[in-house]
Amino acid sequence: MQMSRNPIIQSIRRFAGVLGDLLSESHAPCPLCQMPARRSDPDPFLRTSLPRDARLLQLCRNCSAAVPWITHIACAVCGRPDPCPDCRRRSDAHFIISRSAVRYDDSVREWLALFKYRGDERLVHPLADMLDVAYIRLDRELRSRRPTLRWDAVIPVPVSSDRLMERGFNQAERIASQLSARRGIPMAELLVRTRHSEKKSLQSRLARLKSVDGLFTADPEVVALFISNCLSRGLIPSPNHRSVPRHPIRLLIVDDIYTTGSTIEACAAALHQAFGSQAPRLQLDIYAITLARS
Amino acid sequence: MKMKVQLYLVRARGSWSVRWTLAMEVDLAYWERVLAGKEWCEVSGERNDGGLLGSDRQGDGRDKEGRSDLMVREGAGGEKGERSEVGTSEGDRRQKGSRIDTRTGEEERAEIVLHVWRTLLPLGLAEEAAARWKTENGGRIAEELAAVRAFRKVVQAAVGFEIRGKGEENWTERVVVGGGGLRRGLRGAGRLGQGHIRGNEREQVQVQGLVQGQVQVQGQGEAQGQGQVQGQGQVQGQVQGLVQGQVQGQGQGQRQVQGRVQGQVQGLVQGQVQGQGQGQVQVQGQSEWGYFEGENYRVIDDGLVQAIADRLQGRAALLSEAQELLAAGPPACRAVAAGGWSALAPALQWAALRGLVRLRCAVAPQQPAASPLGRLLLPAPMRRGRWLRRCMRCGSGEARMNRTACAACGSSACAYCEACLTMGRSRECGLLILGGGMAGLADAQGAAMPGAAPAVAAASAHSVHAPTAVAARWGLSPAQQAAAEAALRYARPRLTTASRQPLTNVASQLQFLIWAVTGAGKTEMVFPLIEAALAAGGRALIATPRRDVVLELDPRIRRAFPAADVVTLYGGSEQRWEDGDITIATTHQLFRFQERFDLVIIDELDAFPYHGDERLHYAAAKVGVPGGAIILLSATPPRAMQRDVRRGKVGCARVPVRFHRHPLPVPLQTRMPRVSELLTKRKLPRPLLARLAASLTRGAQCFVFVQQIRHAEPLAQLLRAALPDISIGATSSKDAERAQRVQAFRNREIRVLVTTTILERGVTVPFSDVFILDADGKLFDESSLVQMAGRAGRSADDPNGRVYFFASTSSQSQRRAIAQIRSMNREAKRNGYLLQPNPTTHRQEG
Repeated sequence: MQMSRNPIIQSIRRFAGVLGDLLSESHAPCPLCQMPARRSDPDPFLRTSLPRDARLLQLCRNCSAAVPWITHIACAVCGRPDPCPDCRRRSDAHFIISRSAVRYDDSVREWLALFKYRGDERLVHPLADMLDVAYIRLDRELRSRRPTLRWDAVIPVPVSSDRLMERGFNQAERIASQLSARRGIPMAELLVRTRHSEKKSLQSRLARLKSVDGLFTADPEVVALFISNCLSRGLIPSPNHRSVPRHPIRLLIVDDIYTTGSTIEACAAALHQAFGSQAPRLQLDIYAITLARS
Repeated sequence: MKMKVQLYLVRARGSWSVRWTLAMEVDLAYWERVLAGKEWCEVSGERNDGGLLGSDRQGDGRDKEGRSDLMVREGAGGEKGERSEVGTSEGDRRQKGSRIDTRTGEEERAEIVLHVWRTLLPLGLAEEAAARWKTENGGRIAEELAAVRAFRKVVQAAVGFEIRGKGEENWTERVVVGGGGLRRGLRGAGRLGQGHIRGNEREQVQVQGLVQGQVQVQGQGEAQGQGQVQGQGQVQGQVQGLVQGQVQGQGQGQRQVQGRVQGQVQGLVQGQVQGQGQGQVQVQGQSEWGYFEGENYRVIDDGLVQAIADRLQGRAALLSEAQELLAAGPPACRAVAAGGWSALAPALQWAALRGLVRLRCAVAPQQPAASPLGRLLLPAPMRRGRWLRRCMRCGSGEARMNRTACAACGSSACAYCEACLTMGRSRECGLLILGGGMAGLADAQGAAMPGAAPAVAAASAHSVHAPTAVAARWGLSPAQQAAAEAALRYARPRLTTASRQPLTNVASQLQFLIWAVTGAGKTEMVFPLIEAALAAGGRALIATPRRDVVLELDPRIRRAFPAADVVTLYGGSEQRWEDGDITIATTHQLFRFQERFDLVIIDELDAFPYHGDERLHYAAAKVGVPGGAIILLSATPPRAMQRDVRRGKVGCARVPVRFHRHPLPVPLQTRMPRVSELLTKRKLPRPLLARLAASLTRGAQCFVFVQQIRHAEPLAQLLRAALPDISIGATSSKDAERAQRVQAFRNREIRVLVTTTILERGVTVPFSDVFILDADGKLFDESSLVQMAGRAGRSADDPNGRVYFFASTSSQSQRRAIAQIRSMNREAKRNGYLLQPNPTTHRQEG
């Protein structure tokens, strides 16, 4: 039970341990289940699209098989793999399209719970890689039509300040910042959540749709800063200039789960309102990606 | 709530220390009370005139922690000198026989100087700064200016670059407590070294914040003044920032404050400040820090602080857990919990200042230990490296820390502990509240020990027997009785506070091991120990790795001790926040306790969660009161522990025989190819089949142990093909229907069960034989083999079960396991524990 108290013997032990680790076949723990296990051979699509050191490529066999990728899309708006009554019902969406990487099944639910509620922030890497897959698919889809596509900002969906204090982080912001760094798209925290709503997972569909009413606003100061930043980079012409900007401002909202789309819709509406009041002639195109689609 | 705290440097009795506080106003009020000699006197009734001196309880190391009012709270290197200094000065005074009156005492008694770090700091960094101060400057610096410089240095070392760059001055705010009511005014910091620190400090009073009302300045001759605070103005020096109002006054010998008062305080100061200690200052509204006259702090009365401390006693709770704990407590605690952080923080801070609880970072800074080589070669300052972090709850070190940006404290690299995430996140800016130990509380209350419910104490009062009689009462076999008596001899002196020896003397034999073979009846042996602990008015803990064992023990313990409160803890337990005399818990629950139990019993210390997990050793060591009894139970203690037993570091009693007093079955070694080979060839060797058939014909249930989960099912299929009439099952940790399958095996619906080490212990199936395949594999070590062999021959009806080791080679583990079993049998025979004096095992050894 007690280790030797002799410091020299301890150091030798430690050194021997390190040496042993170096020599033995390395079984790095799986980034999702944290168990040391043999890696799977990743899917060729993932291997070619993701950077070579992406954690998602280091999953163990079980986890790798458990990721419920969305491979075909039935709803062109929200990217749902099944027919989608929500999008048909919605006539005037403020976002153009939304895409998700995986279905929200039990294993994804568990991973997200570990990340969000238990605070296991190691999971941010594989989860951000999954989000990256959604981004890649969306980007390719759009680029096939418009090769000169440019993303101006990644915008994470905010959490309330109470929850932020309690959790210490905003899960959407964490995965968005990984995406932002990898794909070189600036991240802009333009949105604020105006109140603390009940946990969404405890709400019914109708209650969800209602509860997002006015839940988000865009911070006018940050929006002004963002617009002036775009101006200074020459992305948009100055307001005095007569011409209509040729390129729209293209924003990408990032969240962890897309359930009814009400959160994304509320965020997009808030952005449209803020940009509309500050730069009326600016064309704003809002897209969304989420990790999971329920 | 933002988990940031105020850090300050305080001089008390000529030596400087750095502390952090959750509520600065509480600390100011506290220092004032200390100065007035009030602090502690109500609580302990013995400090009426010695408020400033170290505690009288020199004998008890723990009591001094946090209690010697002016001294640094925790024992660490640098402060030893300081303490002895207190001791001598106290001694001197005693010799003179003078009463010590703090109010008219010598100069340094009259006031306490604080330098408050103006910005709130993340908890982890504040604690690191305080810890750095202790190791680097503790007790060494006497001069104020040097102390402030050193203070700045440790803070900057702790926070790194994160808050630098605003200019070096104005980081601290000088506050003088005492010397008349107005002396509590906050002073403008000014530039360091510009006059206001030198000379007589009693002249200036600066009240920060919006002051309405009258300020009367009446010091002791040095300062006189009167001011109306309203509108804008100034008396001496420039007053800028958020201080609004006119200050008029005059006085003699006043100095000019050349610094600026900068608006860090946004509170509203209302009321009167009068000289001679009668002033009132109220701070309303939100202020980053303000201060209160003691009057306002009557709100937190002593009873409440004590109630909170009682509730938290012996616990190690994260802030959220403490809130739940209080919310489930008596009405006073519930009210505090309902009041949120603003109610809880001052109460906790009071309790901490009085030493009733200790407040720590959940992930605390640790000074990196210099390597032996570095210690030889490097000069002292260069040995210091980056400070590491350690989880105070589970004891995990730097390797399990993960640093992420934290919205709660604003740090960009706030460490959290990965190792104990399942128990709620323990993080660097999170508060861990350690309830004071039992002895400390009893002392503070100046009366009887709490904890022993009167009913239990009364019920067990008559049952203090001699060890022999006690053991006999529980119907123990001779071997069990001998071990229980030995354990009682070890435990008795440790169960009563009176006879508990100073820590140093006990350290020689901290723990006691009951090394009982599988099936010896360990639980019965601890009953007398628990009884002794309860009789002494203490609390007992039984920790076991498995939840099902906890659930199984619960009714047995309740039956044995009907008068005691029994609390059963495991993940999701309903009794989570209850207090009891006997606690039965899974090992992970131990993280939530601190110095709570007089008797700690740890079951199966070599089993999975303990094995190779430093955290659980840490937890096991911290839950017992210092000097209390720790009993370890094991059938197969790890080799390191066996060595400690031989060296006499750990006391030990062996129980070499099972309760039915028959010898343990000795395993028979047989050569056989590896299981993986069998599976590829799809052929089972004859010896295995023959022995299985023999066991089945004699009516035994057969355990077949394999190393790999993936071997279990294929091997079962192979066996089914070879033994078509027999029902054969396979199970492993991956098997969702494991419980049903084990039950079916017990009910003899399944005759042969192929399994991995998950069934190596805890499962008792009467009339069973054990087949261990690949016994030379690395997953089967000595203790694992002994445990698996221990599945055979458990019942008195069939005491001679059969055990086979099948392996391609004879490994050291197998030889040692067999040697251990033989040695136990020999010892049992020698001591006359066996029923038959000359046991005839039905087999020869191969």
